[in-house]
Amino acid sequence: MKRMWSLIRHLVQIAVLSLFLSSLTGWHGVIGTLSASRVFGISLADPFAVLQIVFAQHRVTSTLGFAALWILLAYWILGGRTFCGWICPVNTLLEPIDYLRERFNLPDVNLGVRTKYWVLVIVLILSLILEIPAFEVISPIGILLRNLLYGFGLSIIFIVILIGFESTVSRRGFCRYLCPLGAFYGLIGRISPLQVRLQAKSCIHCGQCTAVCPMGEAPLQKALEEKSPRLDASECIKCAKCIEICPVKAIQPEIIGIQSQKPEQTIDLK
Amino acid sequence: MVWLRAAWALLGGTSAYALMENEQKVVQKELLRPPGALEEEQFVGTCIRCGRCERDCPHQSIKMATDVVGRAAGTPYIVARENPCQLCGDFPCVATCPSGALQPIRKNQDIHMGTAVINEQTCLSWKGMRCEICYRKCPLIDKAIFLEILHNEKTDYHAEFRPHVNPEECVGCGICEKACPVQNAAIKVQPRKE
Repeated sequence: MKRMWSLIRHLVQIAVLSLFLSSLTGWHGVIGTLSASRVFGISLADPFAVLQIVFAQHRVTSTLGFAALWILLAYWILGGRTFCGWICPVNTLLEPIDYLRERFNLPDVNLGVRTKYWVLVIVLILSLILEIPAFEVISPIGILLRNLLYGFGLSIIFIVILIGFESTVSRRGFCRYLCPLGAFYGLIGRISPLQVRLQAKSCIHCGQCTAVCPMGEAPLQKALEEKSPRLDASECIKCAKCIEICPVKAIQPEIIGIQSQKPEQTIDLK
Repeated sequence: MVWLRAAWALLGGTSAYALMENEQKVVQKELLRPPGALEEEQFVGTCIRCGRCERDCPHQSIKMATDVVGRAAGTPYIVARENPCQLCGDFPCVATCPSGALQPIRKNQDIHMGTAVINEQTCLSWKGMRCEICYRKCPLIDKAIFLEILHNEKTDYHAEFRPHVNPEECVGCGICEKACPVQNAAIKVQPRKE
């Protein structure tokens, strides 16, 4: 099937959103938000949120520590920013807006892919100084889920501003340039065994991968310039759109240590 | 160039926070926290804003502050007049809290949500009529709220049963505030200052 990955991914996105919103029905098998939750009895937590609390209060409960550890391990195995492509409800919200962008010619300011690392550092510094988890109070991921689960309030304005920013100022600007959680998982992704490989010898430079990539040029650039055999793990959200669209199947997921010895394939264009 | 961007970001971030802090100082102090809450500064610093306490409260007394922007954004609070804390013996809110923002409670005296304050101008009992509903509803009857029995000087015939709050015993659950029959409740919980 041509778009198998996208189908599975969208199903997972819907499943995650449904699971976290399920407590609205009265069933409490899954409660909490992505910052911390109880999922079928197991405490899970966002490792970046826990890190902010550690910086803010210089201590953390063992519950939160383990809750974050499972998630950290999971995303280390799964490639880091897989969170962004498969789980993040803000991404699920913004993807349809991307389609609208294709219709109209809207501005797309580049704020620099490194900027989000500065945001990450500043968040941790602010957490230390202000003694609060500095990103959690403004995180659109937290704000979106809390408004959906616990009633809409003034904070929904952050989401409105985000949507406005995404549609009219910078395409996926928050995800590409600003989100410190994306930066955090991006760093995890760099050391993950799950990577996306581009076979430069097979590549016919049709440009379809870059065209379809929600994160712009950044994930594929180095691989296309043959400066790296792999996509930039700190930019790639593992949505698999490039894998699906590549006409010569030059882009494939790889698990380091297991599939990295794949023989190079050349395509006969006759 | 990079440093300039970083400086702008730091300036922007700090300014935004300063603005929000200023706006929200009043709101923050007025929020009645769930039982077992750490003192306010530590609470807003430890709470991970997950809302597990909101879901696990069997009385739906806990609300999440999606209306607040600033350091208390997304934190749990209680509106006593609508739905006070029922002081469940097992405190499921505390049990579910993963961050330790809500600390285990051994006895009711460990709870410091706030203190009830009686408005002597509007309280029916204080005005010489019979009420004492807050006293009867108080889970710490005769300890947190007790009655002072006096001769009614106005009628020179009846007795007055004036409720008093003992701030040493009152835990601030707000059951009294909910029960008060006066439209603008004559007894209200003042959330703890710290």
